[in-house]
Amino acid sequence: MGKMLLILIIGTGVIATITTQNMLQSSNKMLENAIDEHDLTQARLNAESSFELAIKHILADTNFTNKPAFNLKRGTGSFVITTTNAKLPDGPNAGLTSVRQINATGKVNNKTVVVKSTILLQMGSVGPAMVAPPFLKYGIISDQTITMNGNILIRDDNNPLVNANVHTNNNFQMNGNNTIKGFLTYVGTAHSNPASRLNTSFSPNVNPDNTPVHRKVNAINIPSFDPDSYISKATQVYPGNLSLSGNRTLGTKNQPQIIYVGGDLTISGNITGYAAFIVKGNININGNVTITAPDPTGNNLGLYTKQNLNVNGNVTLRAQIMANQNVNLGGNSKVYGGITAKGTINFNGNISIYYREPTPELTQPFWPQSGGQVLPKRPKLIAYYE
Amino acid sequence: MNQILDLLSSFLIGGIVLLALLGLNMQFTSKNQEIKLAEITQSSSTSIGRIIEHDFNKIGYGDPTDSSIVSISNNSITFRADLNNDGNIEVVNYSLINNANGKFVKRIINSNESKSWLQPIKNFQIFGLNVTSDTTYVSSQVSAVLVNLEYAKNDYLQDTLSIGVQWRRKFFPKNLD
Repeated sequence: MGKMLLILIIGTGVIATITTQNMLQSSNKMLENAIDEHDLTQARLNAESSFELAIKHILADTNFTNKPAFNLKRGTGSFVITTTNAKLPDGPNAGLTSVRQINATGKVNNKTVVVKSTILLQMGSVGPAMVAPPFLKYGIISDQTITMNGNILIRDDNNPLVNANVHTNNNFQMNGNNTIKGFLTYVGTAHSNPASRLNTSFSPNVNPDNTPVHRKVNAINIPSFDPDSYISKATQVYPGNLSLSGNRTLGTKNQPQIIYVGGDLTISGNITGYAAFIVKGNININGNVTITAPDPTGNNLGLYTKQNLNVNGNVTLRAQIMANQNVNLGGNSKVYGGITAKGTINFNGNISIYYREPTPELTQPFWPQSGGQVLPKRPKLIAYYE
Repeated sequence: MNQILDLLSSFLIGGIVLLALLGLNMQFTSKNQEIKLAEITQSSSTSIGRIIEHDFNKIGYGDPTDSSIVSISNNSITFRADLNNDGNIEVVNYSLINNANGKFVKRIINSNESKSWLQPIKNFQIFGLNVTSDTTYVSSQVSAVLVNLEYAKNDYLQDTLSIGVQWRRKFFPKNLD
């Protein structure tokens, strides 16, 4: 009996051992299967990460070609970029341009996943990001009749590549000897005394197409200006009158100060940096305004008023001017910049205007204009094959 | 008399031990079968999962039309894709077949019945998802596809057999963008 029991126990033990072995084998296979699945998934993620990295590199450099195997958290990734005309990876020539094929590979242990894709580059176009509005690109421009009675000089500021043009959305009248290094354009009529002065006083610096120096054109819209519309953009707000003199440090070209003045602005002295004054009352200039800036030939100051701008005395003013009403220039005033007025521009003395092209950074907050520049975008995915 | 008692006692004890050993053996065998079935189930689910991944990741690949998903419902989907990158667009259909023999998931390419593929399952569900991850079955609005596959086991959350009986994956086919 005892022997038989012993045999039974031993037999059962053998069966249990074999069964346990089978169970362990099955468990191991399941574990290996799970690990394989995990490795495959991880390899796929590595390939997708490599693809994204390739996009990043190609955005920075369209000539980027390959990145050999690099370590990731688990496994490695790599990619190769080639120029292609095909729509599909390894496909026939479809006549496409700006297309790249990316072969991105992810590896984990013995699992490898390759993602092949074609992408269309969208690198944008060159050009200025922003430009000044058209109505600020004149030596002088007005909605009203412009009258010049002699001794007026309107020219470039030592930049023979630009014209200092004159435009009126009304009539133009000229007497005496004036010198304008640009074109005259008008909506109404243009007269001079003597009549030949219209042809001789205007002499553009640049006229490659031999365009007549004075001609009738369509009106150029000069928008009304109300500083209250832009008070939220102001970096400094003065609700009443403001008188500036002495030395004043303002903003930078990319971040000019915007100074709101609720009353009149009286300004003189030295100014360092860039700023736009948006003034609800009159702007009065009674002394020289000297600008110190990294760009001494550009416009560093914008003077934009809802009312009049008055310049008196022997003043040298370096600014872009926009007045909702009149601009009154007296004495021996010199303006380095440009003058835009919805009202009348009155010249009372020996006036010199040295035209400088407006600085878009100063005009953008009020009259935004696109320069046509298109920023590069993420490449467009044409085909993706895993 | 004593000898008879000894004999009876030893039979009784031996019988109990024998039954215990047999019970142990049966338990081992039963568990072994269970684990083996789990292994087979898991292996099957990953195999069919890989086939589904192979196809679903390519939805829309090489298809010039805007509507690569031809049709989609809760238990079937038909889409166009160049599965093997040879320039030919295949029309791929996955559907749940429910007949007297049970439930099956059927994969068929270009309506070629002779090359169709049938796999017994417990359930097969398709969810079309739009850009905000809401369920939609409007082909043009589908930007992701969720596939849920269940194998034949009712209480698959309780024991060893639950291993591999459910396979669920969400696909974001890049060629649909």
